[in-house]
Amino acid sequence: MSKRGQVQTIAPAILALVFAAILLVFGLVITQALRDTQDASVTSSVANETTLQWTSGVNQTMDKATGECGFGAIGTSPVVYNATGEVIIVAANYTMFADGNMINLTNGPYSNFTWQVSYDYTWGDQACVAGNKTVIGLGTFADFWEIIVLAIVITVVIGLLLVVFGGSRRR
Amino acid sequence: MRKIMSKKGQVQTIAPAILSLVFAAIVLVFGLVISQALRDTQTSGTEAYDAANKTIVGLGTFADFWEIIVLAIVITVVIGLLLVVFGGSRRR
Repeated sequence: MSKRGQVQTIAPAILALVFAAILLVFGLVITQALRDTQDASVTSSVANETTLQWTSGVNQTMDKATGECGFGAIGTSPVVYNATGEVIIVAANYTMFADGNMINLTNGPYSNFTWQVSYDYTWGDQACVAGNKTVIGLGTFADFWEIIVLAIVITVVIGLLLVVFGGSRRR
Repeated sequence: MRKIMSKKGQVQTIAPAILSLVFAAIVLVFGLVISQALRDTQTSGTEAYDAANKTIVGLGTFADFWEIIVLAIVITVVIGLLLVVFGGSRRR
């Protein structure tokens, strides 16, 4: 193996790396776009989500508005009961926003208690969840570029050194 | 004698490996999207809906293993590269 031959392995290696990197990023973009097609595509329901104790003028965000993959909107006409589930709280006592925020408008007997809220919401469902995991999983490849680059550099450098200093061992 | 043990060959396995990964990922997500769309043609609670939902959840578990697959590819490439240099003197 010649010194020139050793050094000349760098260019194809970098070319292969760059090509692989472009493929990876392109794949991530496409996969993410596919995942995003599922946003707000499925309607599901939540029954009796318990809020925190709250007073008039205080805002709360519904659970599904924060953690669901591809969350779209929450139905603005929820069914709300008091803490024990016995008394329905009429809509004049609250406002539900499509982004999942709900504001308490009452200083009456339901203030400073938890409520039970049932509502519909849209999200991406299982396809979005698995798509998201796929994007994240593929993305972990990006954590290893440094190691791959290091391995290539080590290969070239050690290879060069072996060519120079290990040449006398040839039979 | 062993063509796979060349540096050029080792590094150049990265691009096809990533191409395969990306292709598999796109097929998986596309398959899930289609399966979910098909499921949603059925009424919730029916046999067809439940079976389709199980299928989507089952397919979706593949997505839990991307990290392991990626790690296996990286290990293969890096160890392969290092073996080219440090394991080269053992050739007979």
